Amino acid sequence: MSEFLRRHSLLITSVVLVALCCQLMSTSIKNPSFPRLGGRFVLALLAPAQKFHHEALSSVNHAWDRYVALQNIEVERDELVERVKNLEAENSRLTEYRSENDRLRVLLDYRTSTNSTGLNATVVSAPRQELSASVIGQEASNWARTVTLDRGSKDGLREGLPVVDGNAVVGQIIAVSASSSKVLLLIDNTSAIDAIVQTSRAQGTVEGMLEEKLRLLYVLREYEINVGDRVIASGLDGIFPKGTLIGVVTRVEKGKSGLFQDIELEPSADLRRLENVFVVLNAAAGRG
Amino acid sequence: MLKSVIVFFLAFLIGLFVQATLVHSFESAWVAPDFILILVVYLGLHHKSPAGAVGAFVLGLGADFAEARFVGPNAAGAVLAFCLTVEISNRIYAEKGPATVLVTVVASATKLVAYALMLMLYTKTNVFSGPFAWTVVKEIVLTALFAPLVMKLLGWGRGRSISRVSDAYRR
Repeated sequence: MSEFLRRHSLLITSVVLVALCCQLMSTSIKNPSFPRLGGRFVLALLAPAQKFHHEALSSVNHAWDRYVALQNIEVERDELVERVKNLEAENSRLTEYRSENDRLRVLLDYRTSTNSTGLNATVVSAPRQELSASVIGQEASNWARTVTLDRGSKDGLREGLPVVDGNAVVGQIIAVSASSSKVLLLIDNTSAIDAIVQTSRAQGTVEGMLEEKLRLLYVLREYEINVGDRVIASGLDGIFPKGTLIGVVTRVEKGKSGLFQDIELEPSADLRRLENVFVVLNAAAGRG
Repeated sequence: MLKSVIVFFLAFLIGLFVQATLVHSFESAWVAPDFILILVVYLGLHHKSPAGAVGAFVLGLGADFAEARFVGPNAAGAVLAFCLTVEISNRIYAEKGPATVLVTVVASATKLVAYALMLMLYTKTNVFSGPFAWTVVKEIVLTALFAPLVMKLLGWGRGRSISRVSDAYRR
C-alpha cells in the first residue's frame, strides 16, 4: 500500500487538489464574499506598484503632451471652444427641463413620504455624490473583466458601490483595500444590471458576455425594441441610479417561438480607454 | 527551499503586475500573456513532485484571488497544466528552446479548457464563440512566446542553470 502511494503520490495529490478546487468553486458561488476576501489581500499587495507605474506613465504622457505634441494646437483649441459653447447651451436647456420636471412632480404629488412631523412631503431625488478615481490596472485574464482604481476604504469606498464614466455605467466595486479597489465591469459575464429600454419602457436584465458586448435578457416579445434604442438602469436593484445609461441596442432578434427576445447592446462607456471614472457614493439615496 | 519559495512568491507578484499593468501600457487590448501559467510550467519541468503540484495549486489560487470572482478554476487549471507538463517532460527533453514553447502551448490550452469547463458547469456560461476563441488562441501564443525568457530569468533567480545540473550529472 505504502509503495503504491509512494509511486503514485503525484497523481493522488493532483486528484485531491482538483477535487478541492471543485469544492472551492462551489463555495465561492454560494458565498461571493469568499473570493473577495483574498482579492483585497492581492489588491493591497499590488496597488503600490500599480500606483507608481500609473504616476510615472502620467508624467511621461504629460511631458509629451506639453512639449512634443503641440502641432495644430490652435485649430484644436478653436474646435474645443466651440464645443464648450454648445455644451453650455445644452446644459442650460437641460437644467431648465430638470427644474420644470421637479415643479411638475410637486404639482402631481408624484412621490410622497411622511416626515418627522407627521406631514406628507414630496421627495425629490438627492443630487449624486461622486468621487473621482483613476484606473491604475486591468485584469489581464481573458475570463474576467475588472479594473483597479487608486481609491480605497480610506476614501470612503466600500463593496457594492456603482462606478460610472460621466453618465454611463462602468461597473460595480467588488473588492476594497485601504488605498485601492477592484471594479467588476458591466461586460464581465458575472455582471447583471436591472434595466429598462428608454423608449418602450420594457424591463429586463443586462448581462455581460465573454466578448465585449452586453445582452438584454427577459424582454417580452410584445415590446417593440429597435436598433439604436438606449437602455438605462432601472434603479430597482438599488445599486445603479435610475437613468444611468448602460448601452445602445445593436441587434434584436425575435425567434418564431419563446417568451423573450434576443437583444444585444453596445456599452456606452468606452471601456477600452478607461482612465478616470466616478464612484457614486450615495447611489441608494438617489434612487428615483 | 526557502529561497525557492521566496523567488516564486516574488515571481508571482511580478507576473501579476506585468499582466495587469505593464502589458496594457503598450496594448489596450484585453489579451496578455499568462505569466502565472509560465511559473506553473517551470514547476512542472523542475519540481516533479507533490510539492510542485501544491505549488501550482497555490499559484492558481493566487490568480483566482486576484480575479476576485470565483475560487477554483485557475487553481484546477494550474494543477492539470502542471501534471501534463510533468508527463510531457518525462518523455521528451523540454527544458530548453522549442520544446519549452511546445510544452507551454499544451499547458496553456489545458488550463484554459479546464477553466472553461468549470465556468460552464458551475455558472452555465456559454464559452464557445468565434471572437472569444480567437482571443484565447492569442493568449496561448503570447504565453508560449514569453515562456523561454521568463524561465531563463527564473533559473538565474534561483541560482541554478542547466549547465550546473549537467555538471552534477557528469560528476
